[in-house]
Amino acid sequence: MVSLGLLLLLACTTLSTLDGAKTLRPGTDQASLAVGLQSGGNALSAATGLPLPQVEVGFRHGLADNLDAGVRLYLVGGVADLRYRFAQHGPWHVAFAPGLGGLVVPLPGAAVMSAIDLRLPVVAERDLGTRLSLAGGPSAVGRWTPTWIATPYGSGAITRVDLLAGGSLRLRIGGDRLSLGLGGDAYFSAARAGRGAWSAGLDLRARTQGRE
Amino acid sequence: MIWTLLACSHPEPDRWLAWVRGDAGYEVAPRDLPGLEETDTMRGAYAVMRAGGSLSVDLDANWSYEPGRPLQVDYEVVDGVAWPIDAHGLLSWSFYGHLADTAIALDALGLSVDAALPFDAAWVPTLPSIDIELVPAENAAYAAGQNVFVLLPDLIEADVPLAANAGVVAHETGHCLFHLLTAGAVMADPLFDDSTTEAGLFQASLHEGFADIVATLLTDDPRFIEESIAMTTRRVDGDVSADDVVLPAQHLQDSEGDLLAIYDPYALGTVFASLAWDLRALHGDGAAVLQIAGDAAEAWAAGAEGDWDEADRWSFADSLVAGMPEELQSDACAAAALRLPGVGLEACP
Amino acid sequence: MTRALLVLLAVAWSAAAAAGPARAAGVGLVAVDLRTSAGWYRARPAAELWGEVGDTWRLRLSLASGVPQHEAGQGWAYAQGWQRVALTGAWTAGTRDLRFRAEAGPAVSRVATRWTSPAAVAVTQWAPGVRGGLGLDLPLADRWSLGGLAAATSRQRGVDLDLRVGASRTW
Repeated sequence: MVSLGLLLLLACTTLSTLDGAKTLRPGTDQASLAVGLQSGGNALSAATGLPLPQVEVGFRHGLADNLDAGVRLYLVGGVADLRYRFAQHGPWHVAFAPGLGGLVVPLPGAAVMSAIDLRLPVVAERDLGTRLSLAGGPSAVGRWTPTWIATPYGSGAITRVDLLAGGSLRLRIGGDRLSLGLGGDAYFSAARAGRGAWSAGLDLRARTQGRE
Repeated sequence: MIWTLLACSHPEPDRWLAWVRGDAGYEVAPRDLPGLEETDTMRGAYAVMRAGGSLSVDLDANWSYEPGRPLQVDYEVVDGVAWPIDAHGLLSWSFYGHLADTAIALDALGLSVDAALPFDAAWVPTLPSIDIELVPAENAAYAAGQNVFVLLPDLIEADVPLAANAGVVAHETGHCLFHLLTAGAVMADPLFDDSTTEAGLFQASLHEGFADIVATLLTDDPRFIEESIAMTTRRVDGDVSADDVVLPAQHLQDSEGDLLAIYDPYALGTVFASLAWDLRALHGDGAAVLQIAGDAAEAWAAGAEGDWDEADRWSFADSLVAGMPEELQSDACAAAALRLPGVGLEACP
Repeated sequence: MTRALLVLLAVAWSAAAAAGPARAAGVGLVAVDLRTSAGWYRARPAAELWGEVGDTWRLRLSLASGVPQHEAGQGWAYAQGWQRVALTGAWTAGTRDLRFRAEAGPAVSRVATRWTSPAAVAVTQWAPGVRGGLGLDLPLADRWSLGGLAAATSRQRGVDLDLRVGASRTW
């Protein structure tokens, strides 16, 4: 059972886009907790065909006007990103949030699997009132999965490369200090011609300061 | 040095650069590729090759295959010979060539795989196997019931890549042939589709054994795989016997309650293939022994269909021996006694 | 071919100087993942030169050339070179300390394989395509900046990927 539990942790990545386009004011901090399901986009899900659970904790800090930075930790890796809101017109906000993520997992036997993600989302968000907003946009994820393997017949490394292209959609409900997000992401495999991937879930977000 | 620019359309090649297997071993040289219709997308009468795609199995053990995209083999034609822009083009042409050779050779022996043509051959599809998904290398496989060859890249440097190894391609085609002979149709379910039963495990070993019989007898090489990977346990000219391997019944007993226990079908499969190699040495004609093996596979399936019983365990080996010429029966029985000690074959009273 | 493209870059640079808008030139190291015939990817290092004119909206001419890759096995061997020229429009936005950029435009890739064994044969492919990328620039002192760009370039029926890190100076 322990080994099965370990297997459930292996090869998981995250595809979710949790944040919209409204950047934090300078000095504002934000913490978030997200749970969801992810199908595809990683070896275990691809092999089993089953959606896998994912849990993420995130922290975000406002650096400057229209610019903030965030870190997310998930099972079993992390991703860091910078978000810049380059357009704001009335209730509309548009931001770009490039991120870099990765994980390193030792596998049973003499092997180590790693993954490096380059995430390039563009997010638009529209206020639908004081307590509701809808965010979404296109995104591309470049994923490199180098795996080092030693077998009785020799050893070496093999790297899978994929470009996932798709987008996200997220509904945010709540106030400035505390809010709930519901949404998902969907991607097709642009480089590998493999199965697509999706994630869906909800997140809880808390902030130290007020309105963006 | 000959410089050539890519034109809007290629002249049609009449030969393609590929790994070819001759009497002196493998070399990279121009060869014909029978039935190839489109060189750049690798579409032909014997196979349609693709990049990616996915094989999956649902909770009811139903398999499905989603084809990937066509290949894009970049090449140029020089003096009628197609030269690829990279080694993966060389690999694709080599695989297709060996596949065509195998299908043609089997057809000439009355062991046709025409019902499966053209095969789909997918480079690195998504697979429903966690160990292969985590380590997607050093393997080639045939998915019976979906009629798809799965090709993975080489990890370990070898003289001949796996997909360019004529014996490996023949082995995988042998799986297709075994499936046709025992299940009756290319997309049919296998005779036994429960891998947790003795019948299912024996079938798995027969699959591997029969595939190795096809590979070793068509290439006339008992160690065909070692050009690509040093897997000495697959040699069919060694001393392995059924006493040296874990039989299906023993595995089921030993692994009771252990969900992660995995049966190795190659071990017993090598015993069957070794017996066939022994018979080839006695007979002198590998093609004839291969035909006997084909008949033996059909006979095994006919007898095993329905309830599995003890007689079904060794009926394939029994039919192999029984198919030998009368004057070689005694020696064939002696060979079988060494490979299957303590097993009473009807052909060897 | 590389020399011709360098001349093209120099001519474009001079024309931009005469026209007047802000110009920038840069050099960078590129990690390129080239699609192979089987749809896999092979990484190689490369270098890139570029010239750029404009401010918020920019026009960039870039030339990249990869380190030749030698592959060989029993009875076969070749060296493969790769170059790419791209003319991309870029849009930049950000703060004084951090600039984001998005680029898109046409590109032409050249892959040239010189087989040495089993015979001496050269196979060359010219492939037009479309290039798109997203990146970051960090302005430094004296009009210098450091930047990174992740991009994809279509080539035949596939996509090549690359990641560039470089330095540039503005005039």
